[in-house]
Amino acid sequence: MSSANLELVRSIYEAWEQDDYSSVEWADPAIEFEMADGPDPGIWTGLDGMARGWRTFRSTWEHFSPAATEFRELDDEHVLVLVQFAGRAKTSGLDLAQVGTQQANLIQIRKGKVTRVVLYWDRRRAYADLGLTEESGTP
Amino acid sequence: MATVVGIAREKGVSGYIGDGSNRWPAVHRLDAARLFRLGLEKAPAGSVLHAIADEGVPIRDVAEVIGRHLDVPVVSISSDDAGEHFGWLAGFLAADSPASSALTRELLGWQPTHPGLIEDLDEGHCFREAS
Repeated sequence: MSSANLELVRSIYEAWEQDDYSSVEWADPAIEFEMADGPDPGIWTGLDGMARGWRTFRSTWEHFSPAATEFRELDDEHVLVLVQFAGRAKTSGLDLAQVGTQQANLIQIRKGKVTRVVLYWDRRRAYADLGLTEESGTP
Repeated sequence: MATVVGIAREKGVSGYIGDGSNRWPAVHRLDAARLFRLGLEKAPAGSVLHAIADEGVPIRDVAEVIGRHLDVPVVSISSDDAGEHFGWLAGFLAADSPASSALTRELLGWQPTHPGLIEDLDEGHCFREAS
């Protein structure tokens, strides 16, 4: 079960890193999509809501990509993905690679479907919310 | 700006990164709104418009206004400590992003008329806490 969750999350990021957001077969219809911090924090629900949330987020950036650097299975339901956002602001030209902040995403899975996605611009906040330390990486 | 003010209030200091000479462009939201309307009405399809009044405000100047209004010290934060201090905003606050709206003004005849960032901050709107 645990490895199935990891494989599911890896497959989602493989698509996202290729700028492919077309598939939502992995998502529960009542999925909750949250941006916990950053310029446009908010919570969207359902498949349409998640699409709106992603559009809001990605509309600012050209060539946006959430490059996953590590997948940490926290328990039977949660996978923490350490990511590095890449992209360039459409108008200012600000390069996310130069911003330097490290990000993290929390993925919750129940019965083989993703029920919650939380995007953190600041990885430290993810660790704090989850009661993790950067060194241990687990509760 | 509300986020920057909130961090200063929470930390008890108004910080800038390094020497604070890096710049942010800025525009009053009402000037931006007018440009948005002009863009819809007059700009050729595919135009890239820059809603910029202040071409580059040094972040240290921003920190000084905030410090004065909150009555907290204005301090330099090292790059190493910026993430801890500013959270997700650190990378953006360190960016030097001067920009010009000269082409936009020429294209649409747009002229910002509302206060610039420092003047607007000095008017105190950003420092009133919700009651």
